[in-house]
Amino acid sequence: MAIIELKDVKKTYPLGKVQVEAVKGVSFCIERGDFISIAGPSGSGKTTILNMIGLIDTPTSGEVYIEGQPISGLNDRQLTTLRHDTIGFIFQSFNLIPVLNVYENIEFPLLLGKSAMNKQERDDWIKYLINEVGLSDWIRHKPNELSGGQRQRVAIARALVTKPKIVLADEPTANLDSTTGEQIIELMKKINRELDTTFIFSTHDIKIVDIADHVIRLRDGLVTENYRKDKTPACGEPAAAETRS
Amino acid sequence: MPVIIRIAFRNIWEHRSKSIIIGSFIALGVIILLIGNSLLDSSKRGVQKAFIENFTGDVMIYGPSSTAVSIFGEGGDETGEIPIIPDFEKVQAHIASLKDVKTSASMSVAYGLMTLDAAEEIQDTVNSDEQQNGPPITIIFGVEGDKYFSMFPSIELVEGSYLKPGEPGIMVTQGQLERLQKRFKRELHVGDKVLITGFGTQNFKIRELPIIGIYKRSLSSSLPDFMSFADIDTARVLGGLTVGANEAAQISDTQKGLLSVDNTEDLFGDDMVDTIQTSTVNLDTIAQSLSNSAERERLNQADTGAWHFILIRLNHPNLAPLFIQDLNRWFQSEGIDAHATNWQGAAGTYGKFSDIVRIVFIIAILLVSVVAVIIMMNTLVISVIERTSEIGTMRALGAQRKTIRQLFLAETLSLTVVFGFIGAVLSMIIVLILNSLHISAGDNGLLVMLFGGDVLHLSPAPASFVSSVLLVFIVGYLAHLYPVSLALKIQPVKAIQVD
Repeated sequence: MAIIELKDVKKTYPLGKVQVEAVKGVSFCIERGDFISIAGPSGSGKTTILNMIGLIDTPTSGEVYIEGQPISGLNDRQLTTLRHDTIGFIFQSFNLIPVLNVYENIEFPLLLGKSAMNKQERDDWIKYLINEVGLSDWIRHKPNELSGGQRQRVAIARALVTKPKIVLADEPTANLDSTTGEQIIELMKKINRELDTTFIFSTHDIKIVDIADHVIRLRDGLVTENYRKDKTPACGEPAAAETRS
Repeated sequence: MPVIIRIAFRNIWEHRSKSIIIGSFIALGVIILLIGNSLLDSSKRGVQKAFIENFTGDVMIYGPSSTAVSIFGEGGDETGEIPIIPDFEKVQAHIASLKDVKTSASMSVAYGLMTLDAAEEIQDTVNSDEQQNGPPITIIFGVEGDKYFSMFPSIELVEGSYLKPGEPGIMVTQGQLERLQKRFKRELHVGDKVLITGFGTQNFKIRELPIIGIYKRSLSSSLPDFMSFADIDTARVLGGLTVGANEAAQISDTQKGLLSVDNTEDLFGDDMVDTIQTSTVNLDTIAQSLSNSAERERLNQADTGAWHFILIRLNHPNLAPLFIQDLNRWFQSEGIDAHATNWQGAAGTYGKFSDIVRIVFIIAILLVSVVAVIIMMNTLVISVIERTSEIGTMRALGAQRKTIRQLFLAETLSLTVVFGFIGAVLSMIIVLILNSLHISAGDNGLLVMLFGGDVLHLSPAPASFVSSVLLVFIVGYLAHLYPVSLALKIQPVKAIQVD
């Protein structure tokens, strides 16, 4: 079963007196454990789609399904709980909490909801993640004492700490140099393999797009390409008919 | 919750400049509240002590009146007369039987002008002193010397002696004596005589009285200085409490008819004289008639049963409210139209002074609080705007609205606790400094009332401390409501849109 499914999703924003249609009827689905790139130029609707998948924005029409559950009709509290339990976020600008150190930033999402882990398990898990992202020597440092790449590594660990099924990353390499950006994507890929977490990231960087297993290309709010690298049909797509050769 | 507190404290530290702005208002608020309340508490305590030990005792009883009557004669009914206590002997006997009563004394009050014997001299001085200081008015407390002065030991003799029962005379303050000397340009000593013109609602009475003693009040040198003590009978006469005042004049119907004439011209009409007396007027008869003053003297005698007030000191002054309640209940059950009141009621306007100042202070504090709420609110709003991305991130990571609310509440309350404590400590230091300076009120009567004595001495009451901290908490809580409502409107998507 698809972990995420979008059906004829449209999103319109008011811009002054004009209504801007950012997403013009998009349908696709994503399977569990995929490493997916949503690619396209600026203004193509990448971020809007990620926001709707991440339950931080709602479609004007159409429906988004998370693990088969339609999100329309959920109230703020339910959306927040679903977001906490199911989705991890990696932001373009890292968005770490400035007053918390590396360990505390990663720990923060765990403190926002009910956790099955006890204190020791939680501590072990956080330290494991810190080790995974290579920040063991920076554990007590504040975000302003870290480089951009290090901050994004913290953000990755934070996104994974609640063991979400989905991690959304909106242009995670946009504020990083190319080498660091590639390292970050490699790290995400490694975790994707190890933890079987579904990673969805938006980018317009061709090199990074190529790392993804599944690519969804957008232009002017519409899907122009939707294919898997292994040439298997993307879920919801007819076999080989719309896949890239 | 600990993470919320952690973030709150770190944010306070991180945004130090804003925290200091908000904190300064909180600390300043606590300082103003604590010192202001201490001053008012000290003022009330001082005024209370001064009045209880100098004028009113713990409880005062007064006669029939729809409004409270003060010991200075304020209040009372429209007639302007101070009511006398009905069934005085019964009331006095009842008070004597109460075991809570430590001591009691009765008194009457009269108003008068204190001068010497030459009316011309008054005229000479009218253009200078009198215009500047007003006429030499005195409130005369008619007392039974032995009982009264033993009840108020703070009234100290400077010269001469206390009034003795049955001995006509007057006791004045040094200030009154000096004013008289200045006014009449004459040295005055104990034994010299002063002329008191008592004025009541019905007539004037003039009495010449020897100065028996000069007194001062040990508790506060700046308490009202226009009181003098006279023997009770003289005070009664000066105040119109005479036998004649209580006897209704017997007049004929014809005389009553004359009194009811509307047009006074009719009194002098042609028919005014209907009988012409032809016999010779015997001047000796008239002189003999006028020289017989026995009846006049009888009517001018003091009404020995007339007392305006009974003052009571209690064994346990803190039980005065209960005592007053019981006494008023007894008056009601016995059908006696008398009332008991506490020192504050007995002190009249003076007793209300600290309450009036407190009301003014509270209004000022409320206004300052509103300003403080607005300034704190604005600062917090700026903080919310600056932290939009952070709040959006928290919401995106799964923070419910209540978590954001708790975060801002924790920050505001942490600021309130920390700076409230700083304010309280600073207040204590300021209080210690002010007390060590022994600031004198000097001759300023208003300052004496405000200080509750001649020297400023602040002693913050625990209740004032609690109420001040509570008010600051309320101000902090109110100030955070609007900013937090703004923070709660921040959608998680703002985490991405705002850097």
